[in-house]
Amino acid sequence: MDQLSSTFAALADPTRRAILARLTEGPATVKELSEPFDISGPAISKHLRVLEKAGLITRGREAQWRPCQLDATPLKEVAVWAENYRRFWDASYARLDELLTEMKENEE
Amino acid sequence: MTTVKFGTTVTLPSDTEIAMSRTFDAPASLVWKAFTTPSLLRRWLLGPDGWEMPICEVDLRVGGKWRYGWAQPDGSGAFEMHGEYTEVTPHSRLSNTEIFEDNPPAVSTVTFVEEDGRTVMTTTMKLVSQEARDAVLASGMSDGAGRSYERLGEVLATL
Repeated sequence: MDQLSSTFAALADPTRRAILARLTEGPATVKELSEPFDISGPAISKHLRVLEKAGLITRGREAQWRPCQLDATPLKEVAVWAENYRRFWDASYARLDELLTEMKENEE
Repeated sequence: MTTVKFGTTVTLPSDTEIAMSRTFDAPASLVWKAFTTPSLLRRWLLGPDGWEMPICEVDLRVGGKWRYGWAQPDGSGAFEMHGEYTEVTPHSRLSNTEIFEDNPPAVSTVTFVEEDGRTVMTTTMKLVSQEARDAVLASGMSDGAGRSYERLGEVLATL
């Protein structure tokens, strides 16, 4: 799977998005990350593995703490992609609006 | 006449799909015509200002090929995409494969739903191969629907 697709897949889950939002405030441990959620430590760890595999977070080496840190690089790729995508279609659809108005007038 | 400005909504209906909806103030028959007629496509499917569409080939039947190519007026920045139609239901539904550079082939489905003289056009793009999608499903990443760019935007906005 390409980078953009694995980023999308990782972002598709609301818990993982919430984890990323929390990490924008700074590094956090697994325990800290699991506090706002009503799910088990192992479940959080599973989400963290998906995020780590997608390159969205990095984890410290210290065996006990292993604090998680956000790596925004793949997100920026998504942001650039989404912005270009939206810009292309917004501009195209605005022209299509004008064309359809003209087509309707020609039909009348 | 009042000009209504409609917004484009982008959602992620599944792990490999991106859907985009937009309402147009015209019946489905006209939106379909604008979407499938090369001389009309060339007038709107241009993205930001400064682009032209020198290649626009549409063989509108199941198994028929399509090919779009864009470039700036001096010929620079040229890029193109192509594919094959897999479903053609006039005024209602159009499916085709889409091949762009080295990306894996995607499948795009456009639906046209008319209500009160207006048409909601929804384009759903399946991003990766079936294999990749099944790998994603097998890893347990599929959960409920309703993921949207708004929420993705919340994360992005804080970066």
